[in-house]
Amino acid sequence: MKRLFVIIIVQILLLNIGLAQFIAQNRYLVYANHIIDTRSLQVAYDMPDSIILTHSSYFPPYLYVSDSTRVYVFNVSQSTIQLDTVLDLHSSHSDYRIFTLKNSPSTTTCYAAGQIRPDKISIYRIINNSVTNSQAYNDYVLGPVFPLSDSIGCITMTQIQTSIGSTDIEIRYLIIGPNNVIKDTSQSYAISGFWSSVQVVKTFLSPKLDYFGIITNENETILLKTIFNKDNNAQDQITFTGSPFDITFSPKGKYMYYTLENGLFKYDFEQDTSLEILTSTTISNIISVNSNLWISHTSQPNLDIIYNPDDQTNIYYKPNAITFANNSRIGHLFQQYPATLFDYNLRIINEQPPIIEFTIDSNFIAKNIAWQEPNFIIWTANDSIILDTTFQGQNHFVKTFATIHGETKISATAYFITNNDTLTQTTHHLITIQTYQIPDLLQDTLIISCDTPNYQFNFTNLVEGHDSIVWLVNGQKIDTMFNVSSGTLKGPGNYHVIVYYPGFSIQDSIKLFYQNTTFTRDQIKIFVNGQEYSPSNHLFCTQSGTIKFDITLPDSSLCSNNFIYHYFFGDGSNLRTLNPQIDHKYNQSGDYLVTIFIQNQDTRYNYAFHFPITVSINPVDSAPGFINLNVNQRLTLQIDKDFKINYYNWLKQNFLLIDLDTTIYNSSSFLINIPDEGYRGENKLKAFFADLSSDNAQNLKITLKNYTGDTLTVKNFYPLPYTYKIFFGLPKIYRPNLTTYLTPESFYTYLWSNSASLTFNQILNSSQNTPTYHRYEKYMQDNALLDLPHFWLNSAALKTPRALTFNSQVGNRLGLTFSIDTSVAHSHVSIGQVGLVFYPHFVPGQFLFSWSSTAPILSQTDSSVTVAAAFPNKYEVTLTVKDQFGCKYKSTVDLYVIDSLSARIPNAFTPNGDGINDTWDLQIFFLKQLTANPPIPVAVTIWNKNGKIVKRFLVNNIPQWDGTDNFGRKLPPGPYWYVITINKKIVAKGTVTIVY
Amino acid sequence: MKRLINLLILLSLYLISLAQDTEFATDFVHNHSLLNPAYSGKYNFVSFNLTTNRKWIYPGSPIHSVFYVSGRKNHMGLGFNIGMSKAAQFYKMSMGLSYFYDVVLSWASKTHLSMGLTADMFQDYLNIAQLNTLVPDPALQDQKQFSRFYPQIAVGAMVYNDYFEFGLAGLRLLPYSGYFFLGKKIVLPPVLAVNAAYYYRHPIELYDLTTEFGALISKNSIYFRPNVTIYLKKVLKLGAGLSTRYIFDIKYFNLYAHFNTGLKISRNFVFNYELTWYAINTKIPTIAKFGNTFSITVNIFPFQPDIPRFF
Repeated sequence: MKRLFVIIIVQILLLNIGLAQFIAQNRYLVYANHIIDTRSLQVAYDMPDSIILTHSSYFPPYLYVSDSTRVYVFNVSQSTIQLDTVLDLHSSHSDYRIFTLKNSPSTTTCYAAGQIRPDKISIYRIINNSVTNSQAYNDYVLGPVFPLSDSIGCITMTQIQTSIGSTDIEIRYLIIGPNNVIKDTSQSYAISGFWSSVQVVKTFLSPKLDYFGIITNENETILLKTIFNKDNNAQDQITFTGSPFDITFSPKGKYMYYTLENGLFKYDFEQDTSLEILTSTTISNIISVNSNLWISHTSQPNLDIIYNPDDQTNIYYKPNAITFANNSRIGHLFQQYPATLFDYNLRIINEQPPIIEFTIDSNFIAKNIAWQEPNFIIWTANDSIILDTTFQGQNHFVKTFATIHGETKISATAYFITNNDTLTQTTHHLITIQTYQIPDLLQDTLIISCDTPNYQFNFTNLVEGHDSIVWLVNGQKIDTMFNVSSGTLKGPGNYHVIVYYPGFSIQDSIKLFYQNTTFTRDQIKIFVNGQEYSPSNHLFCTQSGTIKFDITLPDSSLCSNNFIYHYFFGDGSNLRTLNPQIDHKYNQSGDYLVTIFIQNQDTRYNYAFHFPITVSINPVDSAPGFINLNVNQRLTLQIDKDFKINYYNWLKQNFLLIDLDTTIYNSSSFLINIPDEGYRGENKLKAFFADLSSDNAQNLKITLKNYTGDTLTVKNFYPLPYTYKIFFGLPKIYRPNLTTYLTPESFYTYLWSNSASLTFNQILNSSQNTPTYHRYEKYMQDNALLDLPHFWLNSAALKTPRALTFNSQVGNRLGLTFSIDTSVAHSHVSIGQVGLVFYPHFVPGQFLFSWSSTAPILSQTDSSVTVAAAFPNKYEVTLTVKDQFGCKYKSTVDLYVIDSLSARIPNAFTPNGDGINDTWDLQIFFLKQLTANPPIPVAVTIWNKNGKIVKRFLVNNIPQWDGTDNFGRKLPPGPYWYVITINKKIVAKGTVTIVY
Repeated sequence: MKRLINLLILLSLYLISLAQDTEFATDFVHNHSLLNPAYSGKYNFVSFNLTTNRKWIYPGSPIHSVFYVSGRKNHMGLGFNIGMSKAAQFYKMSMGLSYFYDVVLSWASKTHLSMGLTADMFQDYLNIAQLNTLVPDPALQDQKQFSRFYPQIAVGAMVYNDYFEFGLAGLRLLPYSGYFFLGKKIVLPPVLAVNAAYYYRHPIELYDLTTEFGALISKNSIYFRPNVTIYLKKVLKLGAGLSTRYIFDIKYFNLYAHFNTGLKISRNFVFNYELTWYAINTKIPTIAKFGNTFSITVNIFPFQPDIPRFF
C-alpha cells in the first residue's frame, strides 16, 4: 500500500494573508480550495516518498517543497502560489533524498539535511533561497534537526559501529552558527547488548543545550543510554531503563521528565536526583506546555496530569483530557486517538476575540493516527482554510499552527487519493471547535458598601463543562481548590483574580471602591476648637495650647471612618491618623497654616486643603474684670471698659467713642428740651432740670444721641437726673466740658479709622457742635506721653461707632494680668423702676456677649442688657465677653437697689473754686416743691461728726450749698450728715462729704 | 522669755508706728486700754477684746471697731491692736503694739504702778469711688491723693490696787502734720487722758459697785465721762453714765447719756452692750441720737494669774 504522509500544519499568518492550502499527495496541491496538479509545477518528482513541505515564517511566506535532489521555493500570496526558486542540491546523485527540511524559527533560513544513503549525510543551509552551505558526512544516520534560533540550527547524527560482543554508537551533533560555522561534536558510547538489535530511536537536546541524549531500543526495552554535556563532557551519563517511555524537559531545563514502566519520573539536573512522581497509571505521553507539565494516560484517556514545575508540591488532575487553553500545544495528544475518532467538541476558551494557537509538537508520532483512510485531513473554519500542512514522506510531522477568530467551528475535510490517483474529497466533521465569549470574570470597578466592605463574588458555570481547579486572588490561593463558585474580596482595593482550569486560566482585575466616598470641598466641615472653621473665623483661644481639630465629612458618607487624615499643623509637626478628631498642642501663640490631606483607603479620593489659623494661648481660662460695669451711688451709670493696655495689644481693636450727651427725651410726653449745644460742657447741667417728682419720670425713656446721629436708647430707666459717664479704657474719655481727657497707661500709637495717624502736637481749632476738629487735652496720669500735651480728634471720624480704632501689633499674649475693679463693688444703687441698662459699647462683631443676671433679664443685645431690678434687693449682673480668639472675660457688678432719694442726692462736692461741683446742688431734686405755688419749703439740716449742727437752710433759699456753716465760715473737709425734711417729714438723709 | 519680750520691744520701737487716736478712746469704758496704754498692765493674764461702736443709727455714721489683745506675766506685758474706723466714705485703719511694765509699789496694799507705751500706724483713706458728685469731677479721679499714712505714739502710767485706780496718759503725742485731702493741712493737738476708778464690794457680796471716770483733754476740747456700774452676783452688770464734750474754739457743748449692761458668763467671757443717747442738747434728728456699743472680752489664763480681787 502506498504510504502517504499527511502532515497537518496550522500556522499563524498575520494580517490578512490568506492561508494556503496544499494538498500534496503525489501530484496535487490544494490551495484555496483549488486543487492544483503538482505535476504542472514540475515538482511531482518522486513524490510519494520524498516530498517535504514546509514554510517560512517570514513575509512573504515561502513554501518549500523538496524532493530528493531539489528544493522548490514557492512564493505564497493570498490567491496565488508561484514557484520562486528551484534549488538544486545534489543533482548528481539521483538516489539522494531530502530527509529533513527545517526552517529556522523566524528567518527564511532553511536547513536541509539530506541523506543519500543510510550512511551518508549532507547538510545544507538555505539562505535567501540559495544554498549557502553544504557538507557531507559519511557513516552516519541522520538524526533530528532542531531549529534552535533565528540562525542556528542543530542536526544530530548517529553512527553505529559494531563489533562482536559490543556496540559502540557515536553521537554527533552539528551546530550551525550564524557565520556558517559548524560546531561539530561527536562522542562515542558503548551500548551493551546484541548489536543488531540496537537502534537509536530518539535524540533530544535540552532547552539550554546543556544536555544531549539518545534513546535506543534494546531487547524491547527503551534505554536512555547517555546524557552528555554539550561541551563533550560525558560525565553525566545516566541510564534509565524502562518501558514505555517518553521524555520532556521543563521549560527552564532544570528538570527532565521521563516515563519508565508506568511511572513518571523527574530528573533534577542540578541535584542529580530522580524522583518518582506518579506510578499508578500508564503514562502515554508527557509534554511541557508553557509552565505546565501535561501527562496523558493511556489507561484513562480523559485524565491528564498537570504539573507545574514551578510549584512542585501541587499536581492537579486534569479532569477532561481534551481541553486546550490559550497557547497550549495540543498536537501530540492526537496520537492517542485515531483521526476518525475526533468526533467530539474541542472547546477553546479564550478572550474575545479569541485567538488561539495550538501546535502539533514536532515529537508527534503519526503512526497511530494518520495513515488510514482517509489519507489526510484538512481543517477548515468558516469556509476558510486554517491549516497549512506540510507533508513529509516519512512518518514524522513538524508542526501545525492555526489562528481562529471568533466563534468557529472547525471541521475537517478529508482528502484521500484513491488507488487510481484520483483525488477524492469527503467532508467529515472530525473536530468542532467552539469558542465562547467568556463572561467577565469580574467587573472593572465595583462600589461596595461601607458597612459590608467585603465583596462576595460568584461564578456559576463560567466555563461550561469545566470545573475550575484553583483560584488565586492577588497571588494568594483561596481556600477551596475545586469548583470554587464564590470568593471574598475584603475591603476596597485592587484585586487580580486568576482561575485556573486544566490547561488554561482566566484572569481579570477588579477595583473595589467604597460608596459615597467622593465629595467636594464644600462638603467638608472643619471644626477647630468646636467651632466650624471659616476664613472669617480663624482665631482660636486655648488655655494650654491644645487645639482640637475635627473633620466632618458629608453625612451620607458612611465610609468616613475609612479615610486617612494627614495633618500638617504648620509648626513643623504632622500626624497621620485614621481618626478625624485629634488634638494638637501648639507651643506658642501665632499664625499657623494647617494642611490636611484626606485620602480614601481605596485611593479613589485624595484631597488636600490648607487653612490658616491664629492661635492665642491664653493661660487664663476666664479672665475677669477687664470690663468694669460701674454703678455708683448716685445712679450714675458708668460703663467702664477699662481694658488693660496689654489687652489692647492683644485685641488689635478698640472700642467706639460715643458722644452721649446731646439730647434727652422722655417717653411720657415729658420732654426735656435741651438745646443741641446745651448738653455740653458747662451747659450740661441744664439737662438735669427735670421734674423729679413727676410720676411720668417713672417711665422715662431716654434717647442719647451724639452729634453724628448715632443714638442710644435707655428705656424704663430711673428718672432724671443722672449722669452718664462713659469711660473708655484707653483712652479714658469723658467730657465734663469741652475738654476730653486721655489717660493712656503707657506709650502707644493710635491710628484713627480714617487711617490718619494720631498727631498729638497739632492744634487746629475748637468747635463744639459741628463735625470738625475738636481740641482735646491729654490728661497726664503717668509719664508715658510726657511731651504730647494735646491731640486732635477729628469728629468727622466719629460718624460711625467704630470711629475710634486702634491699630496695634499683637505682642506677647502671655503674661496678661487682669484685675477686678472692686471700687464699685457693693455700691448702693437706687433704682426707682424696672430696668437698668448697660451699654458696654463693644465693637460689634469682634466680641460675643453673654449676659446673665440674678435679676430677670428683660431684653438684651450684644451691647446692652435690661434687667428687671424692680425691687430693693441685691442683684448681680455679669457680662461675659468672648473675644475673637474665643478667650472669655467676665465682669460682674453688684447692684444694691434701694428706693431712696437719698441715694440719688450727691454725697460729695468740691468747693475748690474750679467751677465743677463747687456747691451741693439740691434744687434739681426738688423742682416740684420749689416751683409749686406757693413753694413748699424744703429744709436741710447738716451736722458734723461730733453731732454739732453746722448748717440749716431751706433749699428754697439756698438751692446750692457752698459748704459754709451758719456763720458763713468755710467748713473743713470731711464727712457731714444731713437730713432733708418737707413739712417736718424726712424725705432724704445721708452724708455729704466736702472734699477740697 | 525676757529675751523674746525685749526683742519684741526693740522691734516695736523700730516700727514706725504707734499712737492712739481719740476716735477709739471715747469707748474706754469697754476697754480701758484704749484710753491708757498702761491699763493692760493691770492684768497678768491674756485678754482678747473686740469692741465695736456705732455712734449713730444713721446712714454713714461713724463706726469704730478695735481688736485688742494683751498679756502680762510678772512685770512685763505686750499688747497688740487692730482698729478700723469708718465715717461716710472716710476710713481710718490702725495697727499697733503696746508694751507695759508693772511694778509693785506696796505689797501691803497691793498697790501697783503700771507704765505703758503704744505705737500705732494709721491710714486715713477716702474712697472716692463712693463719692457721687453732680457732674464728674476731675479732682476726684486719683485715689492716691486720698490716702495718707501716719504714725502715732501714746504713753501712760497708772497706779492701782484692789480699790482704786488712777492713771494719766498722753495720746496722739506725735504731731499730725500730714496734709489732709487735696492739700488741706490738718493739725490735731495731743491729748491728755485721765482715768480713775473706785471699786466697792458689798460685805456680803450682794453686789459690786464700780465708779469710773475718764477724761480726754486737748488744746481745743475736753471730753469728760463718769460712769457707775453695779455688778449683781458678779454676773449681771447694769450701768449708766454721762459724757460731755466741750469744744473751745467753736464753743460747742453737748451731753450724752449712756446705759450699759453686761453679762459675765465666767471670768473668761464677758459680754457688754451699751446704748448711748447722744446730743441731748442738740436738735439733730431723733433718729441720729442713738448709738450703741458691743464689746466681747475673752480672758485666758495660761499661767497662774494674780487676779485682782474685784475682777
